[in-house]
Amino acid sequence: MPKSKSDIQEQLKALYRDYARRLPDKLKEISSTWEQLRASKWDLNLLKQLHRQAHTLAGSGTTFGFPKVSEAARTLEQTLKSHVQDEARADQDQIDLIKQQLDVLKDTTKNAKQVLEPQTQSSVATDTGPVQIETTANLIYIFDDDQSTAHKIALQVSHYGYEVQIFSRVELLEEEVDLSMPTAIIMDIMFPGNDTAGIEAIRELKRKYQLPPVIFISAHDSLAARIDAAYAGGLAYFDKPIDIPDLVSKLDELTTKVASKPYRILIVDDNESLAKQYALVLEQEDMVTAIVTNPMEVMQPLAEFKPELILMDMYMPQCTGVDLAKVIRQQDAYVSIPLVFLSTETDKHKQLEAMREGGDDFLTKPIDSYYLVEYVRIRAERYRKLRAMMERDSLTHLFNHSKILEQLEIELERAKRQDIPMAYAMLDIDHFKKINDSCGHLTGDRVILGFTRLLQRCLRKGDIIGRYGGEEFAIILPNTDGKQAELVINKIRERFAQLEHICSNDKMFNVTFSSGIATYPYISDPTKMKEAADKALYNAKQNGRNLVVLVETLPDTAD
Amino acid sequence: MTTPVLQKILLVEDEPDIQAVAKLALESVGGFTVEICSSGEEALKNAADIAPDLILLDVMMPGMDGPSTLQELRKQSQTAPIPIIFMTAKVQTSEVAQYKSLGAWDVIAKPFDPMTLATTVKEIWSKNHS
Repeated sequence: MPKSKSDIQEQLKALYRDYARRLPDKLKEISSTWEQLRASKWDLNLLKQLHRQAHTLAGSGTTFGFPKVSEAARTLEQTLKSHVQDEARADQDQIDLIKQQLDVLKDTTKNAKQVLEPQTQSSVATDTGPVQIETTANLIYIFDDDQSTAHKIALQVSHYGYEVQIFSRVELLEEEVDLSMPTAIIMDIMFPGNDTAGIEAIRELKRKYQLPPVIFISAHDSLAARIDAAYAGGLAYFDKPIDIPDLVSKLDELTTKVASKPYRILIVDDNESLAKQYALVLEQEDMVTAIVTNPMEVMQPLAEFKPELILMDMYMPQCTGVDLAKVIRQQDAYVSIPLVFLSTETDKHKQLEAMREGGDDFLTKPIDSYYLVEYVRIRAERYRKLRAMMERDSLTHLFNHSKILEQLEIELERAKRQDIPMAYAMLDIDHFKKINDSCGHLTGDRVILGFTRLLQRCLRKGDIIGRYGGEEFAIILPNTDGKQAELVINKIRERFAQLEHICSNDKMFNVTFSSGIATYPYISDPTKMKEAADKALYNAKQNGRNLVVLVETLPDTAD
Repeated sequence: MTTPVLQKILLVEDEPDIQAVAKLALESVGGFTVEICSSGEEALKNAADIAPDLILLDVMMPGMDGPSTLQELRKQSQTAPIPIIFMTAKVQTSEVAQYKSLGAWDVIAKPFDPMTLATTVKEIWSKNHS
């Protein structure tokens, strides 16, 4: 008896709701199997059972509207699969990796929102439709027949927020890439039977796909192998034993797309059509421009637009470019901004005079478009570097002390104006002096850099990160209340505590940090906010370190 | 030669949720009659009596897994000729070849779309009868 499509949909929905209700129980079963597996010292039957349970969840999640649960279960399933195939006892790193993937699965399931129009893959496994290659953000593939190394790398890398899948056979490369294109591939070079299997596989695959960054690893370090790897397109080469912090650093560098902000150019010229022409030429090269045709009105655009270079006409009816330059330079904020005159003036003495009064250079009209663009780019870039040096910490490139405090004032003003909360967190690495003393300053620097990277990964684009100096950091979190800030910083705290660092004598060690958080509207004055965050930080240190303290929880701290 | 009609499907699957969805999908959308066995062992005992036109066989089940069940079914004269399609979570193309070499017609990937499962099964049926 034929049913209408909507009837069927209704019945399906009922089944989906059922599934959603029982999902937490499924997870409890998986957890319980895991506990039993641990207690039984890796009984093979329990391992197979766990694998099956993960497999089942991976296969059903998406059908019932939980695609993320399917994904997390699949990651776990893949890891367990390699163990079932090897039938070997797992070592601590491998156990940790499984535990971590299980945790991710639990988290995903807890927070999962059922998608009522479930998305599924095509039903036939051998679908030969067009290959859609979309990179899955933060997904890393590791190909290494040495599972122990692979797991060690995977564990550390996943602490930084990457999702890792491990494969022991290089033959799987093409199919896995076909299923899901990762953000980066870590490929061992030597596989049983073929000393250059990894390089060949990548070279083969490059013919069919545009590959993401590939990092080669090898037990073997020879110049010939390195050259081969480079020819195959490998962007880095690490020989074993792998310096994992170094590897992660490279991984981060290769996978972080740093979107360079466009240069901002202010054009001051009473000839509007000419000004628009310059603007057009520059904007086609991805720069952002603003035009001022009345020099008397330059001050406000200057303050709001914050240009990185000013193109100024020499002779304007209201005032000359030279006079205007003098006025602009009077203000401290604009003492160093590149100011370039545009003029038909060819008299070198007059040009010198203009430069004496505040111009940096002279461009004689008519100006070749190509030349203009390159010239502007070079000058703006140099100015940016100079400002960075003034505003940023040289090691981490985070904002320095004075810049962060300046930003705190700005963000606090904005929060008041828009009536939204904001949080200011101070973070201090615990026992940092001891690290420098026992492992040397180079190690200390690497800890700082590792911490910086972790912060950048875990925070949003709009969050502002600064390094106060030494081992102290500050974070401004706009549009964030105390509870949210505490959650975020605590998550970072847990992740950071699990990172492993290498001391100069090859010993691994962990580092933690303490943090104090002050919030608006609990506190509304910038100086008081800084003091409060300081106080909360001190409290954290007093109470055992590796702790996050919200200033609201302390007595006598409100404005 | 006309394609024989596909009417009765035996679904061998241990997960009650998947059983329910697959049965609904195949019966309501495809118009098939669906019988269910929850394990390989149960399938071996009852397949001959059920006499389905096609068996949808889950690969991963507790106890006897899909491939083992297929081998045993092929040993019984009454069930040997019944075509089998495997069902399993995402597979590599090399694994599909392996499953086919065991004697299955094809492999359907889980998770599947309930609204198109019946069509997929029909396609595989026609493909293998031409």
